[in-house]
Amino acid sequence: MFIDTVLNAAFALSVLTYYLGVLIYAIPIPWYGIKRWAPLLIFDGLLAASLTLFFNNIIIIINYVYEILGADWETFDLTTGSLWALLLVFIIFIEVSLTLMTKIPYIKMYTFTSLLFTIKGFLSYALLIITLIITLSIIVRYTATKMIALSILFYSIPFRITRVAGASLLAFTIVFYIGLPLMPNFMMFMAIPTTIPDKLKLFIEYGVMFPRIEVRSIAGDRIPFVILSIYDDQGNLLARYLSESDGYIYASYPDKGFPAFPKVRLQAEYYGLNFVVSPSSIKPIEYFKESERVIHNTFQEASITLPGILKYYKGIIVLSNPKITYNGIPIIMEYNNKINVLLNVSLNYNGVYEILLLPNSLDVLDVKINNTTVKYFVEKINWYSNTIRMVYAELNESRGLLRIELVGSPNQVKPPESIEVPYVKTLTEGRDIDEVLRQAAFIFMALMLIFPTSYIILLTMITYGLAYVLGARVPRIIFRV
Amino acid sequence: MSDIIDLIRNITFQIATIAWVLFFLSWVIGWAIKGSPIPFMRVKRVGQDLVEDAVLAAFWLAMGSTIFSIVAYIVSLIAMPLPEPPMP
Repeated sequence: MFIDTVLNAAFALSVLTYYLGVLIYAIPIPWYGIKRWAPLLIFDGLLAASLTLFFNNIIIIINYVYEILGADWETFDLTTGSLWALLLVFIIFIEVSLTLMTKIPYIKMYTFTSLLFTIKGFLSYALLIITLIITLSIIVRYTATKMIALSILFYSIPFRITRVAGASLLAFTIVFYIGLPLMPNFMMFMAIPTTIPDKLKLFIEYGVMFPRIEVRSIAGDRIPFVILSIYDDQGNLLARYLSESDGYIYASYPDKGFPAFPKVRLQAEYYGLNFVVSPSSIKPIEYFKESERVIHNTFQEASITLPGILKYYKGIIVLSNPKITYNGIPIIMEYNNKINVLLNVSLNYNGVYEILLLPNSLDVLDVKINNTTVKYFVEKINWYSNTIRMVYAELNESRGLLRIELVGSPNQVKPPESIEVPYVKTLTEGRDIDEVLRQAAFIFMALMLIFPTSYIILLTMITYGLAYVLGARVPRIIFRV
Repeated sequence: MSDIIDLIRNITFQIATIAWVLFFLSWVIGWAIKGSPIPFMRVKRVGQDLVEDAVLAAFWLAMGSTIFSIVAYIVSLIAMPLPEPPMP
């Protein structure tokens, strides 16, 4: 009804414009300033009349382009609506936190509150922009045909009084009706350059822990430079860490972390030998205990034992051989540049047994059992930049005190370099975690504020250009005056 | 709203009437100036311009309704149904 009336008025006005042009032609005043209007008005009248008659086709063409470009108001509603709700929830959350922080006495968190204020300001701007876009979309969506009819009415008013307004309105309606529902496509295209890798999906699903893990021998002393590998159920390597010289694995640095999978398997390597870990498979969430104090960014604590190692002393490893029964803990005595390792053993079979692992700075002087010298031999193992000696002894079926005399000064070996596979860093494809966080923050900010704003600015520029084409420009006069 | 449309149509009718009268007037004035015994070419030129404009005005006046029906006809020719848009 409204549209019909407006279009009728527009047609009547275009006829009026035409006859005004003719009237000016007929005026018997030889003044070019007035006569100039005559052909212009005739042309405008005809143009406005054609636009009025073309109204239905304008609507059809707009819908046609809308469908070709794959625009969809429903997707637009979902995206902007969820963004709006998300922003609102964030703002309310921050508001509540700020209230709690500022109103409760004796809690002073100036830095944190000021940071929150900044974020709140940013989010408020983003909310404003999203609200603006939603309002615009409602206006454009439900009044598009009316606005086009009105713009044609503006077009046909004589003497080009409202021609620019009509052109702008028409351009605005066309561009925003087609362009606004394409905004989600634009944002998705800009925001997610790559797909999320499967590893990262697991990371998001299970999370990560930041423990400090103590690696111990049976005797209870901590062992440095143990390479601990962490596998998942299928045997894929998740992470690999090296214990430091104090015998702790600090998986607590932001780059490292421990995968909090439902079940992980552990395996240790030391001096080139594989060792079973006790426990060999753990459920990190249950196994790790929360730290009482946060030191070195450590949030959880745990300790693992290597049952294959009886004792560690300054680079010397006393192996725990499953075929030997050990009565008590080995004693290691150091005096006059000599070291004595005393072991109370009982054996069931004759044979050659692995006894010790030594760093290169130590040599075996003698191996005795119950003060009787026994045969022994030494095998060299190359382990990264170190040479390790493995000491074997030929022992008879007997029980008693095994005494190994060593000469030299015990030294810690050089730790192997760059063998660690930090969990978080592999997930982020080698980038630092703070860089990734910064990127995530940027994407968040861009999604909330920069992309919508820039898209609206883009649409406005297109509108301006289209309005210029439609009417702000004076057409060439086709009649000679 | 329909009052306004009637008003506009009345104004258009009056303007067309006035335009016819003015056409005769400028036709007469034009020929009078052109035919006057004044030996100034510029004045006579003005007379000729007036006659030319009057003729053009008479032409557009007479053709008014015809031209609008031509416009309507051309628009109806262009306004063919569009093919189905390709789905992306």
